[in-house]
Amino acid sequence: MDIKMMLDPDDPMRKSLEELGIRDDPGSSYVISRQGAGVNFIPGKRDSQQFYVDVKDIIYIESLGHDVIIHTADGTYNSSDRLKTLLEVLSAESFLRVSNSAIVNIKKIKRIESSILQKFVLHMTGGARVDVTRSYYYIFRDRLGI
Amino acid sequence: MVLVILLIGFFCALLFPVCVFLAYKFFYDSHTNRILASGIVPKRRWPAPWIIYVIVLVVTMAVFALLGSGFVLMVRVADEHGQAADYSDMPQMIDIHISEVIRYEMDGGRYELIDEGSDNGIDYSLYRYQTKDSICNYVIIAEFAVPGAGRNTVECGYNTETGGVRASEYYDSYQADPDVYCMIEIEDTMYSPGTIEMTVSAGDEISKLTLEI
Repeated sequence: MDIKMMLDPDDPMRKSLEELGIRDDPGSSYVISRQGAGVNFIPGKRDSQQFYVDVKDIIYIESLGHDVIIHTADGTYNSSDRLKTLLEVLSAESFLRVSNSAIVNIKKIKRIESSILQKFVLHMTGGARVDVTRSYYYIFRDRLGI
Repeated sequence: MVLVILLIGFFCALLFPVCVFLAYKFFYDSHTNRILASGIVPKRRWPAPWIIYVIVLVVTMAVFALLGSGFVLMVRVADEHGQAADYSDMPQMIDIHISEVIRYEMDGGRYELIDEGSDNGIDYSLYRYQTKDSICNYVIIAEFAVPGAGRNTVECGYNTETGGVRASEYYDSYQADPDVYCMIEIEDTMYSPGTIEMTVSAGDEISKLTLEI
């Protein structure tokens, strides 16, 4: 049986499962993940190659149509997971959803700019700009205490 | 013009909250980024810039509505005074006729004689016709003497509480004339207490007549 493992490469559960003959299949409809603390790596594809992206390197994750793109300092990766799924496995301490189509790494926010339309524009490291939409305005303010 | 001023005022009133927003946004963003950098959450949160914008916009619009209505009221009052002043400033209001041969006379009718007499060498009769809505028409029929050849001027001043207006007419005489006739018509004035002054400059002689109305 193949299962999608939203687990770090060195997670003991991964080893146990592999010992039981269960393989990690990113395309599987079954997902196993660790609740609470968040993972340190998430799977991502670049040029048809599978990578485990260190979450510390993630600047933000955005959803463009059916594609979920993980932006890091050294490039972008495609994820087969939905934003909601990624948000569940990422550390809530570092990651925050700021719109229906973006999750940001709070530690990678360089500057916050307020807007007249009850929005924020986040200037991320690397120069990207991500909008905090009205629906997530108060969540963002509460999270940062601003 | 009033509309243009009000429109300019309105746009200024719209711009003011934007300026306040931009100024506040500068400080708010600095404050926010300071929190982001330090990670220390302050006890009191600053109100969001858009809240400041909405508050300032509402207050500015209220002030604009007050000042605007005050301004419109002021303009209306000024217009009413201005209309009265303009009305009395109309030069066409006073019409002076001078003749050595035509002896002017009132043909009776609507005008009533309200004053007559002789003063400073001017024989005069003052007639008035007043309509139901207090519009007054005055006619002065006067007679005076000219001492010799030269330019002669008849000047008439109509002064009331709402303003004053003057008109003059001249004629050249070639010899002394004991009987020069004059008719002055003051038309369509709103009744207001005042005086009608008539000055006759005949050669070196100046005769002045003041009639109370």
